[in-house]
Amino acid sequence: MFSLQRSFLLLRRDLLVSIKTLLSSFCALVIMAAILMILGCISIPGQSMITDDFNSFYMYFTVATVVLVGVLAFRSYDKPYNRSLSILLPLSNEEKFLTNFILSFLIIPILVFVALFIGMEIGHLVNYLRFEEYHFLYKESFYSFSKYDSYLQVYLLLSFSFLGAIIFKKNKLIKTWAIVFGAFFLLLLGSVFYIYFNFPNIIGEELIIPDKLQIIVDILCHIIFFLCLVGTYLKLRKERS
Amino acid sequence: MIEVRDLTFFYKKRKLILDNITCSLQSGRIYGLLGKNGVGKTTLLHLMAGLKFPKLGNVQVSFSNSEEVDNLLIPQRRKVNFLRDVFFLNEQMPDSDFTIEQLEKHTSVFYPHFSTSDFDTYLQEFEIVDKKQKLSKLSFGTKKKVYIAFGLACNTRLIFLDEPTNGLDIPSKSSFRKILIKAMTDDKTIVVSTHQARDLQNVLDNIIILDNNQVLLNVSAEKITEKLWFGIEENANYTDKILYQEDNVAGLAVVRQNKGGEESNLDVEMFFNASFLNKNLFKELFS
Repeated sequence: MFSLQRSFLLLRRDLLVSIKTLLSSFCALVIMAAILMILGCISIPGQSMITDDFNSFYMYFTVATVVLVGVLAFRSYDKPYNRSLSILLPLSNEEKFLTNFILSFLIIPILVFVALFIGMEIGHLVNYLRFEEYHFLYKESFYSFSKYDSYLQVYLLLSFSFLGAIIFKKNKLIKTWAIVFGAFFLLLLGSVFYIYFNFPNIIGEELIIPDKLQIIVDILCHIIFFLCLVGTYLKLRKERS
Repeated sequence: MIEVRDLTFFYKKRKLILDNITCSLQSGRIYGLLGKNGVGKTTLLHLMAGLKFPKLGNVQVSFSNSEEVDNLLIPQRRKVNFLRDVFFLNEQMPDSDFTIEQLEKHTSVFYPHFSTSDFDTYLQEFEIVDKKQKLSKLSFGTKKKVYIAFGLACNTRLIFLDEPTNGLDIPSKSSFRKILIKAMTDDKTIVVSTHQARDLQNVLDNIIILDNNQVLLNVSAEKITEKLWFGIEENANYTDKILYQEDNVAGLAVVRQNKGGEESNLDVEMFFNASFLNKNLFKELFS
């Protein structure tokens, strides 16, 4: 008895519940992006002050999105008395999952992108106020964003926040990322030791990642992303008061 | 109707909360769930509503005149056709930035039997007029009244209320009793967990007492007053028959066996205290 209509009604309700946080986050991101643009910490192609590409934009975009998803996803499950109301709301687990999925993987990324874009445009305008000509950045921004090929990594990071948001009830963002960084650190340490003991001759040489390894990493990213989503759904099904 | 069969629940294996309990709750009745602190009243409510999952045994729900093909519903599966017939009111109130109007507009859409006129009537009964008030700005008691009114207006066939009169002022307790009776229909089962037994004693149809991880008693109010007599004992010589007594301004309030078929009004608090002093006798009397 899956109903899209019920999912969207819940999405509307959840958005209204979080409207204050969403709006204040939006404003904060616009201001932050404008300041960073004025200071030259975000660059655009061909007009770089620090870097020649758009990477800094993606870094801010990723961090802001990951933080917002960590805070806003499954927000109504944080407190025990809100949780029981949410668990017993007459929607199936699939509908509740879809609602949070749309919020986390569609609405929040779009909101962050638009906020950063507006902020950058304002910052750019301030930078160029004293010059005779001004042109909008949107063409470069959208062109660059459309060429960006690392969405998978961004969505993988989002999926960690998404899973952490339902597993942890208090300080969920801190706990989630402490575990992710801890796991990453251990993985890195293990790799270094593995290389040190098995291929001691390559230490100090430039590291070239072979194409095959890149493919394996991509497949692993897909698998982990998928597992995070499945884990989130299963945790939602087993959620108790 | 709720059927609880061989239900066991624990957080840690060594410390059982509910141990192999079996009981049945009929529709058309208001149940009072009583017990000492930490005995598992809220846990049992959670298990019946599907907010917690049994470790052993099960809870099954069936609705009278049910239109559903699958008549037997398992709360822990949380199917939509079960959830739309359940409302659970926690002792603590949910946080919300909604106004009362927004709560009604955006939450009632999920409850097919929600009645706006019932909601308005119950709010009026509680003397809440302005629906534009933000829930976060309301006092604990007023917020509770809003959620009670909302829950009852959802017209779900299962209503679980955990300590509903906590935080309510004296007139509101009386209003609560009125709207509880008004909201009651033959197809509904209302379970109220409470320590404030006297707040509800005139509205309860059945009393369930939990003790030592077990259901000590599950008995109707009619049967209690048929078997027991509650009142002020004028002649102290009858103390041999007294099952429970306490000093009262009017005299000695007692509970004794009602062998003569005398009429009396049930005093839930005294019944509760008497049941702990006469566990075996009461089990025998109400078996």
